[in-house]
Amino acid sequence: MENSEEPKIPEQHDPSRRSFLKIGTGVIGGFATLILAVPFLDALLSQSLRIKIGKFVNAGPVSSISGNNPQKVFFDERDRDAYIEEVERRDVWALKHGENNVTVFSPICPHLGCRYNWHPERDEFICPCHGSVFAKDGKVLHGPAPRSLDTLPTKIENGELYVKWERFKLGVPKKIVV
Amino acid sequence: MLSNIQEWINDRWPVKEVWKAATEEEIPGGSSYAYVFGSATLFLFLLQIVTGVWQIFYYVPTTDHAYQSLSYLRISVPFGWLIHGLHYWGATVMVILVAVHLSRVYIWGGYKKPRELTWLLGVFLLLFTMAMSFTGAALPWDETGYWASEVGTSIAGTTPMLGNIAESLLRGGAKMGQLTLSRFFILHVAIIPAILLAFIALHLVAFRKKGSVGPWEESKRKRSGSFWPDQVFKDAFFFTIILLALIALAAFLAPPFSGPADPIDTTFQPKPEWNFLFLYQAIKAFQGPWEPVGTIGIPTVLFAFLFLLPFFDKNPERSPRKRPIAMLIGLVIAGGITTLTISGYYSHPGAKQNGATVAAASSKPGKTASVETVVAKQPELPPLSPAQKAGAEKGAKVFATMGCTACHTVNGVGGHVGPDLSGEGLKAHSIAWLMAQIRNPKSHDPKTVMPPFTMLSNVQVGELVDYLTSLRSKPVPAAAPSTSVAAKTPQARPANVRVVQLPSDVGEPGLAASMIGNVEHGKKLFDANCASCHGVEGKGGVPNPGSYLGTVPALNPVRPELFSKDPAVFADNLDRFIENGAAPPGPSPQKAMAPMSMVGYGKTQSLTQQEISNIIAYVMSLNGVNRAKILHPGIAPKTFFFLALGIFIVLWLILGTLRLVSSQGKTDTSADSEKK
Ligand code: FES
Repeated sequence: MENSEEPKIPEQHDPSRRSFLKIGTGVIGGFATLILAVPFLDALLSQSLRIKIGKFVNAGPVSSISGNNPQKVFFDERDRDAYIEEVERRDVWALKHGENNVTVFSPICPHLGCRYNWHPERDEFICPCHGSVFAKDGKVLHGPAPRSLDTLPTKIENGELYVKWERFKLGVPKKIVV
Repeated sequence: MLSNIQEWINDRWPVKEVWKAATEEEIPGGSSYAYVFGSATLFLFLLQIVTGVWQIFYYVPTTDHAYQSLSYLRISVPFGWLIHGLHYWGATVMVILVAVHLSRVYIWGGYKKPRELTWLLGVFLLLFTMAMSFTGAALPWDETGYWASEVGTSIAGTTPMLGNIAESLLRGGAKMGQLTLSRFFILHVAIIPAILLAFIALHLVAFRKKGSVGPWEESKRKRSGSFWPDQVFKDAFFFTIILLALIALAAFLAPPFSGPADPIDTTFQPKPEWNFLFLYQAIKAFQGPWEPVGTIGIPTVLFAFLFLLPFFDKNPERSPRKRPIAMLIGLVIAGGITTLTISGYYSHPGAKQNGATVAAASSKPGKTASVETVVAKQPELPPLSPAQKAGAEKGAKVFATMGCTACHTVNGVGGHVGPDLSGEGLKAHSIAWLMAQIRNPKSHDPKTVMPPFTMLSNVQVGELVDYLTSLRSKPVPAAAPSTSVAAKTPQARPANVRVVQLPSDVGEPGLAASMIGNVEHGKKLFDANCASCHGVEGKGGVPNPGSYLGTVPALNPVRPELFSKDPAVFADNLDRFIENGAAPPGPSPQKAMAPMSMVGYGKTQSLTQQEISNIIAYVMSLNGVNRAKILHPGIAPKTFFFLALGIFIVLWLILGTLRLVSSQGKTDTSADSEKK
C-alpha cells in the first residue's frame, strides 16, 4: 500500500496470456458453480423423486362391506411426511363382488387430485372439481379425467381386507405409480 | 454542515448521480394520470413486502401450525386484521394493476422500438406476479389454498417432458405435505421476491434509458413535463386512493376463513385464486387428450404472444386508430379472459349435478315397495342359533346406548324419526345389507338423515345385526300417543343428580377447539352427522327417553353452561363434547332403557379435527357468536378506515388549497416555472 505512489511496472500485455486468463477465470468459475450446483439441485430433487413403497394394511373385515354399492372404507396407517411421523387416515372406495373379491379404488380423482364422491342415485362417482364422472366399476364416463379410477392392490386373508396405499401420476392416460 | 456531509458522502458514493438518473426525465406531452399504473404497482409491491414481513413475525410455515398461526395473527394480534387484509387484498389489486399497466402500454404502443426490452422485462414481471399469487395462496394451509395447490401442482405435472420434475420439485414429494409448504414458503418469501426486485430494477433502467413514450399525437407531444415532481405527485395521489381502497377492503370485506386444510375432504369444491379462474374454466373446454391444450397450451400461447409482440409488430405507428388488428387482438384476449374469469367465478360443477340428481332420486319411489314384496315371498325364517341369541343380547345394549332408540322404536319404545324396527327380523335383509345400513346408510338411500355409525367396532356392528334379525314381532301401530308422551316425559331424578353433563365432566377438548372453522362447510357436516339427534339447525326436540332430560339437548340455543361470548371458550366447551362424546345422566341402564349417548367424534376419529372445527364454527354461528371474531383489533376495522379516510381528505384539501393559492400568487411567473 505504501509504495502505491511509486512508478508501476506494467504487467505483461501479451494478448495470448490475457485470453488464457479470461478463459481460465471462466473455467474456474464454471467448475466452482458446477461442483456446488449438482449437489444443491440434487438436495431438492432426488428426495422428491424417490418412490415410497407401500405395504399392505388391514382395512377391516370383508363382511362389513356391503355388496351393492361402492362404500368408503377407512383405515389408519403410520406414515411419514418428511420428518413428521404421523398416523394417517386413509379413505378408499371398496366395491365388493364376493367374499373373496373386492375392488378398491384410490379416493383421488385421476384428473387433478380432488376427492370424488359416490352418488348412489345416479350409480356414478362424480368429482366436484371439474365434474368428471365415473361408472361404478371406475370406468371414466365423461369429464376431463384422462383415465378410469385407479385401483389399489388388495389381498384378502381370513376374511380381512388388506390394502396397499399408492399414489399415481395425475392427469395422464397411463397409470404410473409415484 | 449538512452540505459538507452531503459532499463527503457523494465523494464516496454517487448519490447525486443515482438520484438524477432516477428522477430526471422529460415526459413528452407532460405528466398524466394515464401513466400512474406502473408506479402504483411498484408502491404496492413495496407495501406487499412490508405486510409480508410483518406477517412472518407470527406465521409459521408448518402444516400443523400454519393455519392456526395465521388465525392468531388475524384475530389476536392488534392490527393483525389490517396487516393480513392489506396483504391479501394487495395481492389481488397488484395483479389488476399489472394488467391495467400492461394494457395501457399495449394501447399506447409502448412496446415498439426502441422499448422492446422494457416490454419483455415487464412480461416477466407479470409472470412472476402470477407465481407470487400461486405460491402465496398455499401458505395459509386452509381448504382454499390447499386444494388450489393440489390441483395447480398436478397441472404442472401434466406438462410434457418436464412435468414430473416440475411437480415433484414444487411438492417435494409425491403428495402435498410439509415439504410442499416449505417450498412454497421459501419461493414466496425469498426466491420470487428477489427475482422480482431484480427484474423491477432492470425494467426501470431500461425505461429510463429510452424514456416515456408519451402521447401518439404529434401535436400533444410538443408540450413536455418532468417526471419529478410532476408525475410523481400524480402517482402518489393515485396511490393514496389505492391504499384507502385496500384499507376499506380489509375493514369491510375481511378475507374468508375457509377452514383448515383437510386432505380427505370430499365436500369442498376447490377453486383457484381468481386470477387463475380463466384457466380453470378453460380446462373444462379441453377434455381427454386435449386437456394439456387448455392447461399448458393457453398460458404458453398467451405468454408467447406477449413475448414476441414487439418482434412481429414492427410498424412504428402508435395511434390505436391506425392499429385496428392489434386493438382487435387485444380486445379479444382481454374479453376472453374476463368472460372466462366471470363464468369460472359462478360455476359450481359438483353442486349442479347434486341438485339435479337429488330431484331425480326423489321421483323414484320403488325402493321400499320392493322390500315389502321380498317379505311376502319369504314365509319361513330360520330360527336363531344360540350364538346369535347371545349376540342379540349384547346388540340390544349397543342399540340402547349408541343412540338408536332416539329415532327407532322397538316394541313401542323409542323415537319416530326412522322406521319402527320391531319387525326388522321379518324383513329378511341380508347381514351385509344391515351392516351397510349401519355403517353407511347413504349407500341405500342417499337422502336418509341417518348418520353413518362408523365409530362402532366390527364386533359391535355384528351384535347389532344379530339383535336386529332377532326382532320378529309385529310393529306396534305408530299412532300410540300414550307411549310417545311417556317417552318424552323426563324420568324422575334423585335431587343430587344433575340433569345434564357439564363441559368439564366429559374431558379435554381436542385440537379442533383451537382451529377456526368455516361456517358453511360446518353446516353441511352438521346436517350429515348431527342433525338427526340434535335436530335441524340444532333446534333439538329429538326424544332421548332414557335420560333425565327426556330429549337430546338443543344446540340452538345452546345450554347456558356451554355458552360464552368469548369465542375461544365457547369453542372449547363445544369441542369437549364433540371430542369425547357424552352420556347424559339417566336412571340406571338396567331399568327400562339406557339413555342414548353421544360418541366422541374426535376420539373415535369418526370426524377429522378439521371437520369438527367447521361444525363448531357453525354451531357457534347458530348462537350468534362469530368463531373468527377479531379479539384484539387495535382500532376497530371500520373506525380505522374512517380515520384514514378523514386524514387523507384533510390532506388532499390542504394540498389543494395550497396549490390554488400558489398558482394565483404566481400567475405571472407560472409560465417561467413550468419551463423549468
Ligand atoms: S380433479 Fe376430478 S375432475 Fe378435475
